[in-house]
Amino acid sequence: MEPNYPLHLPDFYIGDPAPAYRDLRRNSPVHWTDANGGFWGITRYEDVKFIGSRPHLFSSAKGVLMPDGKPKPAEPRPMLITTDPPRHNALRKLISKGFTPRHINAMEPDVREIVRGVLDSAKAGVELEYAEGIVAKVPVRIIADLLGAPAEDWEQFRAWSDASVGSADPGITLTSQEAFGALTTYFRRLIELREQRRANDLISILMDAEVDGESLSHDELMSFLHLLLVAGNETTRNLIALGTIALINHPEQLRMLVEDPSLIPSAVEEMLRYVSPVTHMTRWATEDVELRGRTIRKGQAVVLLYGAANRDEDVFGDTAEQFDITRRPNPHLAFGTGEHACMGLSLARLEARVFFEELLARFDRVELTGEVLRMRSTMVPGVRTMHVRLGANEKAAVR
Amino acid sequence: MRIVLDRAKCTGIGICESLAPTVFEVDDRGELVVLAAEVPEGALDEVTEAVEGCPAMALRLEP
Ligand code: HEM
Repeated sequence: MEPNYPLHLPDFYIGDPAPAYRDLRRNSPVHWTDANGGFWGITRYEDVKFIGSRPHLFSSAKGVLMPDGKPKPAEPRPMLITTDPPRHNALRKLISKGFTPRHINAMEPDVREIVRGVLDSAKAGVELEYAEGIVAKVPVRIIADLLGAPAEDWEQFRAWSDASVGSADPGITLTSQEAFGALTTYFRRLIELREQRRANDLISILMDAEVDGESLSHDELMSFLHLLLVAGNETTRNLIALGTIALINHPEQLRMLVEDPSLIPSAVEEMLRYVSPVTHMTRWATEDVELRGRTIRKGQAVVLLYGAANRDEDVFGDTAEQFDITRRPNPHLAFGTGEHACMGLSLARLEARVFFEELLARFDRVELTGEVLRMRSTMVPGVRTMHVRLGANEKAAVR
Repeated sequence: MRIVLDRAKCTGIGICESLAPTVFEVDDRGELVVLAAEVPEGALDEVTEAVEGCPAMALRLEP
């Protein structure tokens, strides 16, 4: 019998999807789900890579979220992430030059200062809220800074960003529509300021940018700004929060990391693989395609389940389901694959590395003191709140 | 070994540059410049890593 899993529901991703993924990889790697108009779920590493690298056969233009059963707007907003080649590549080069490892590494002092500022508020030995109160502040400040928004607006940014991705979450009162409107108004104001005077920020770069001799349309500019804010925020927060939980659940690895901080970059890669902060992206078949004996029909949605691919025993061997901060090589697909692969990956890696360096220099023990509340999202089911107690790292030199 | 770049796929993100800075450089216009047509002596490991690490699968090695 065909396995049956609720791949369309947030609860599936919030629980432990690993056993279901294992079953699907083995017994139904190209798996049809009827819900929400129907979609294919892809769980094997090789297949996710195959589809991700064929944008002509599997398009992003109809959106990257899995079908949610709601009617689609006739004219979706133009966005980098939903643009197919050849225009995609031209658009992407405009901003990717601001995201190369060289440029991003130059941001390390700023990132460290932001992380230190946030961690300064964390006290050892008392219960504190970690996800909202500490982790979430880091990416939102860095993105807002990158975009050129003044520091006093950073917290407001986070509220809007939360609301625009986690619209299924009852804890969020703004609808995603309202949050989008608020952001649009705000970005319009920033653009007006830059019209008078350019600055050394991403908005200014985008305003001067041209594709085939034409500058970006106002809509394109807006959606770029919106995408960067949303794409860089929840994702990084989710990586750090769920990565911390992985360390809590594997105390021997936490110990290893405290004793040898040079393992932090490889620990971050393993967190990316093990956590897979973005559960999926979607593609749409542009013609009928045969895959592992199933026929994907033209127009059908194909959901690439990165978390499943990242536990594929064919690639990660018989330790695929284990958390191992020394894993090497670690060719995970947490940042996606193909020409849409995450543009912010160097920034996300930098943020996570600096965060754990600074955290573990101050605290060498972390324990959960209560329940972990998750975001009710199928794509980025992050941590909403988690209470922890941190133990001071007595051995570390006092700064 | 020859280093082959597929410009239609490259998005200039520069992961290759971070892994093999002597061979790859993203210029100010966001275009990748391959600084050596052949893999330089002693650089095979890092170039291989760069080729495998390219998220856009735009790099290839040919004998
Ligand atoms: C742990 C953190 C992150 C994860 C797991 C992640 C994951 C992903 C994934 C899976 C995609 C692929 C989209 C697709 O194939 O359709 C993507 C695209 C993207 N990401 Fe990230 N991301 C992270 C952080 C960031 C950050 C910090 C930024 C920017 C500041 C960012 C900006 C983008 C952009 C702009 C795209 C669209 C690229 C395109 O369509 O060409 N991401 N990300």
